[in-house]
Amino acid sequence: MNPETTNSETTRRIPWVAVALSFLSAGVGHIYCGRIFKGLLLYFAWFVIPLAVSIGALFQASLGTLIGLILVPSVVVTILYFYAASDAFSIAKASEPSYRLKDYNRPAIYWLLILVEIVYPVGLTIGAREYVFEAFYLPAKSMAPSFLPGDRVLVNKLASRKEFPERGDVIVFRNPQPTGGRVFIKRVIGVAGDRLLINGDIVEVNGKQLERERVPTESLDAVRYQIAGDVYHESQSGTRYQVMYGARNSGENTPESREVVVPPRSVFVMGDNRNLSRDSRHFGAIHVGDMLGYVDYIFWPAESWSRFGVYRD
Amino acid sequence: MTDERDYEAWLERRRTIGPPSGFANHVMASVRQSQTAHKISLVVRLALWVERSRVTRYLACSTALLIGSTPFIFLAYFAQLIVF
Repeated sequence: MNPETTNSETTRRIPWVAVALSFLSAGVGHIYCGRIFKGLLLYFAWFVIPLAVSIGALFQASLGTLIGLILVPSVVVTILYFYAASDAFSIAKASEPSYRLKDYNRPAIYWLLILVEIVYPVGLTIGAREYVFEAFYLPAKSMAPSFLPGDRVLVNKLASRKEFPERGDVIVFRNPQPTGGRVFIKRVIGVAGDRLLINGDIVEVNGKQLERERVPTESLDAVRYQIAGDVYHESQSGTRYQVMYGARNSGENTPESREVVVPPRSVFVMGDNRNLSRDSRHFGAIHVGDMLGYVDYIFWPAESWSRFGVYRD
Repeated sequence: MTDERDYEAWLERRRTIGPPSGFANHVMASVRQSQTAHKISLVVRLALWVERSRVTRYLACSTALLIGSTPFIFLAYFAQLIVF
């Protein structure tokens, strides 16, 4: 059936009906007004979000990727949604009272499009969250000063399917304990086969003590209100990150001295807030199968927007 | 009484003529069409009722916005910007 064919019936296009249809589903208001091509373009605009996000997950984490492929498409689609309603209103208002009905000007078609439009973007979003990127809100201080309570981070799940974590990576994994949160975020300190010696504040990996350098307080401006301890730059395997040693949590029972060999297909993880973290020192190494992904971005920082962007140590 | 005889003769002739072929189908199609027309008129009547006042028009558009924004609410939830 040719969509542009018309039947003999004529009727006026009602502006508020065009707006209501557009609000229910972007593009349907245009289809109601006889602008099927523009309507379909607006209708399928939602595909852009998961498509762009999936492409973004394949690239190396960068500010351009975060803004251009993850944040901007979501904002553009939201703007298009409201533009569609406004444009449909203008088209309906400017239309002739003797608008000749097209073959697709049928209530059943509108309802079908609306039903599909409400379901398919939700499905696409669930799919993207399950397999590409998942956002997490951090409620705890265990990763301060790298991550603060209130940070929202994006975890790349695609990378975890093809790469094995390395020392210094920040990963999200399922909580191996029956109590506590559903997932944890920690830093990889040792990988399979590594021999670790943890003695108080000193961490040795394969017989080599991790290098530390005190961070001057004035350089912590953006996060200093959440800092309660001495902050150091710690380096290993070419990765440099900040760790903090503050007052110990009285409820925690962190072993003072411990020597472990990381089992195969496992990683040993620790929180950057070393004295306020439940990690592999308490529950042992984490099997890589329990890993959900790598933290790529802080897309909604807690304290200062200077921390927005790619997570860097 | 000529008229009455003519009338009786006309009636007799009419009785011998059957209905046109497809007459029953034509009647049933008309009934179906009138039922459909009745359904559409309900939608139209509802639209006309909404159109009567500005408040009902705003209410209809707001309800549409609420339903249509469901995917955006899900997106915000997945981005952890809102919590249920």
